[in-house]
Amino acid sequence: MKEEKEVSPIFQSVEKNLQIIIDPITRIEGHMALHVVMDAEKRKISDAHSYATMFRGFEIILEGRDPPDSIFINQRICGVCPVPHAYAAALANDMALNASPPPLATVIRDLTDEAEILYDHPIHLFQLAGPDYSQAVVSKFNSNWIDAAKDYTCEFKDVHGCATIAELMEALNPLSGRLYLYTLKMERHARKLASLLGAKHPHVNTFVPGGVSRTWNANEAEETLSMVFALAGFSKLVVTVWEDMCRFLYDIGYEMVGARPANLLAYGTLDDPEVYDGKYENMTEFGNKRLFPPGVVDKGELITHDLTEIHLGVREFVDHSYYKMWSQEFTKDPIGNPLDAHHPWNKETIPNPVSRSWDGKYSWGMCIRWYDRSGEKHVVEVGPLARIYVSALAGLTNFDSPYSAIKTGGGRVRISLPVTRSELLPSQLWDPMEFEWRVPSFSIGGIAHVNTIERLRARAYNHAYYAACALLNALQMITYMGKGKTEVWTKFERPGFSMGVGLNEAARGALGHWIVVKNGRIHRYQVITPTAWNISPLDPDGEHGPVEQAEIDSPVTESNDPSNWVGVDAMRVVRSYDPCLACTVHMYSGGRLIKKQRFSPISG
Amino acid sequence: MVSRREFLKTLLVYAAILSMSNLPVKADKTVELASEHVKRVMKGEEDPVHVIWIQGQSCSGDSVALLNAVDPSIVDVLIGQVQGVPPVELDYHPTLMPQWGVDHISEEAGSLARGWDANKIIDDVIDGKYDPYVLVVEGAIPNETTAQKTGGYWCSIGESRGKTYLMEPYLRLLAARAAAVVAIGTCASFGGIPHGKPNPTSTRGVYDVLGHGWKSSLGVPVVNVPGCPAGGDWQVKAIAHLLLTVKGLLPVPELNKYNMPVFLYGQTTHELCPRGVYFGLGKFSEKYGQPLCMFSLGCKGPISNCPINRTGFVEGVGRCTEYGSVCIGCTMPDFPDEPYAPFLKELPTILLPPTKPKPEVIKTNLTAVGAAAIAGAAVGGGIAYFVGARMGKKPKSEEEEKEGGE
Repeated sequence: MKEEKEVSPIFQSVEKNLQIIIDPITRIEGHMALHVVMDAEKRKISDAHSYATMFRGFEIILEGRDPPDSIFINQRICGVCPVPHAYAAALANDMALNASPPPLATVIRDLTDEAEILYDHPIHLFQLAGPDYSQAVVSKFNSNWIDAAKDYTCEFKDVHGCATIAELMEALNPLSGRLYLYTLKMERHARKLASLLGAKHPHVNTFVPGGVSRTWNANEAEETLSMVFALAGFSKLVVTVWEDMCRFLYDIGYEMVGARPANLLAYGTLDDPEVYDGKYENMTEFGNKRLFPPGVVDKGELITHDLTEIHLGVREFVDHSYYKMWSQEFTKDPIGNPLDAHHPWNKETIPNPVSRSWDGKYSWGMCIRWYDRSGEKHVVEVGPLARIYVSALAGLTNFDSPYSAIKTGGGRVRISLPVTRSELLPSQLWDPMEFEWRVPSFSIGGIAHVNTIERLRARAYNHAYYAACALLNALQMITYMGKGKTEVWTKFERPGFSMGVGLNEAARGALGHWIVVKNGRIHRYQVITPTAWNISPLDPDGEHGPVEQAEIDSPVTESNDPSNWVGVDAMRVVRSYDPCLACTVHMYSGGRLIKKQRFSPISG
Repeated sequence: MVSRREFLKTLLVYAAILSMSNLPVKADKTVELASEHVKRVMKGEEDPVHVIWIQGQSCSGDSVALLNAVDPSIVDVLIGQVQGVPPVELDYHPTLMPQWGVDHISEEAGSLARGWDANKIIDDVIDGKYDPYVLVVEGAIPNETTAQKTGGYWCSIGESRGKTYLMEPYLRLLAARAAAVVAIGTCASFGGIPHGKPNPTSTRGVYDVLGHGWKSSLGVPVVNVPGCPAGGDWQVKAIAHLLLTVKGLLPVPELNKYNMPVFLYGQTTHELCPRGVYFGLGKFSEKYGQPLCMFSLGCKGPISNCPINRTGFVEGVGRCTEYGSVCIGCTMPDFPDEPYAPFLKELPTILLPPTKPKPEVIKTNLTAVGAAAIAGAAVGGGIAYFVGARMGKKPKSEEEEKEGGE
């Protein structure tokens, strides 16, 4: 407090504005804080900086260990999204240790991943972000919405049982709302499926290089089928609740909150068991066969869906982060393509903790950017919205199985879910349903944009997409077992030198793991998490990262006097990215952290 | 819903079980306390017990696993499913609480905004406004003195009115008034993954910070509930036990040398493994996916105390070694280092627990192996066939060692 006046030059230039430090940001995974400056007259956020407040040092801990240990250790980066970490590490290990998994192993990996998303998206929508749209929070900070909510009739009231948005908001109330409590039970059911497949969840134990270690027979197959059907029925609730809520939010004019251009990236996920072989040279081919295809979107247009090109275009910068630049070790990838010095295979983590300055270094998060073949930079956000957006434009995913169907293309994704009769589901969720997601028509100045509402909506539709994929994979599983293809593991090697990469999708977006093996041990390991993309600080050209872009100029809708503003809109924007800070701070290691400028740490 | 009569019956059964063990509180006293307590609760005279849940270097995996618990679930506990159990209020939990940090730095905040500040709860707890409370810690606690030497910090849990709420000093402040302190997960118990070699942040478990002999104001030591993550049922049962301890209804749970409750961690993964019999028969899986003993493929079950093969992980589903994966020792103090890592390489036979454990034998092995390794054998015994089955196996050549899965 005493130091505030002398060491806050950053704040002096904007002292007419209302400044709030939000620390801790709750209802996300991990330790994150936000500094926002709000213009009380224009009711807009005029500046924003987000930063992490904890680190552990995973990459240092991994060096020198047995390569397969990275699968077990890395998923412990995040207890909310461990399976994609296990999966990405397994993909990197398959490649580096030269082992192509048998088809049933890929199916079991896919199902484990799907089981996790089927819990992860709802826990975000109903327990983490959901309370921001509950009656408990809205009546406190957006009391002017309440009357509109009472009058707003829900289109899908026959499915989720809430006649008006006001009723829906009540059902979202923490610890007492009907939907808050019911969804907890169904999320547990999804983790039960993940535990059936992965031996436990969080932190599954069955992913190994070359496949899985799960002993698999008819007993497991039958339980999986039963659980997948119940969870597909649950998707019908997730989609209809958030479709109604998103329509209401547009109706009250919430579309400018968290808006930024539709510049998006996805690596894609859920490999085809017949095509995936873990070979780097085949990455473009198996990438395009993924149920979620890879792709980069620039201002609403798909500019590539080639996973090899996307992979080679990833760059890390540390100009505004507490690190030193590293020296380049490799000039070519394993098949002779040129490798940039800023590519993660070349990266070495060299911490450089200095004082915080918004103009200089201010974040432990690295700046992640994507460069196309012509060398043009793209500031991209990742997440469920990017995933479904790419899928809708690429049009590569089309299947019509007896259990489920997905049809994509022309900016649309049509998802068909079957009859889902289950004692776990209210009977309104038993009938077959078909949902269509469309590329948002929201644009500013003729340029396609995305916003907080669309991030919420896309997360709900992703749930149905993953459920349809899980039904397909469950059918594939039965088919392989029927044909006697029951092998789940291929023996792996520990080579003298090799490189591996695993690219897939965590719930909150594109996830990459890079491994370099020397003398049979881990020489170097790098992880770029989705939240690292999204909370990127300024890049070398001075351009803001996606979350900062979304916060700046975002309207303030709080109904109270500015002295009682709590930053609820800023929170909704941050949470719409579903940030996962343990993921993002895993890579920080070294001697010390920054000294905060304003606050003196209390002594122990 | 459990009726009052059923609840009393349950407590009486519990008391009877306790009377058979050598615990400090006599059973008849427990029954007496229980009856008085239930009467008070029924009359609405009983104050709630508060739970304050803080996170250090955590991945939130324990919080997610907490939601796996059933009978009772954590929501059941919070909304008062079982009548007569002390009312519980979860006042602070970073992943679940409605509030967040609100610190107006340009001008004085209004009362509504101040009341929404999550950090105010921490301040009030330290001021005694939430007594009695159980402090639950998730995540490891880095040594801030190593960071402060260079003017920085490792882990902060909040920031308000000019103060940074550093994990380590605030753990001490919050522990000072706590009726009981529970370390949930291997990170909070022993340091876990962040303390893996070379331990870049000099991080530790809660009882390493407070002192192994530390006791709460009610005389309760730090209770460790390890696991990566700890099963939700283990967490709720350990916390519920302490809530009853705080109310004088149950004695302090019996703890092993690592402060793990014996009622949960009394046996090793191997002792509870349905495949354990194959070890004695000398039948070992040679490939992942096979249904035999996983020892040759890296299982560390014989030296890891864990109830997962008995309890399952989510509603009874999820059992590491029964399902075919190897135990990686994620409940143990030395995890993720040797002898648990490398996870997919066979444990050297010399590190196996002795056939018939005698105190001096255990002691010799402890120095050779690391403290954690043998704890399970000491508690359990009954694995007499264990080493014999391994005797016939010839030592491996270096070429074989380099190959996958071995």
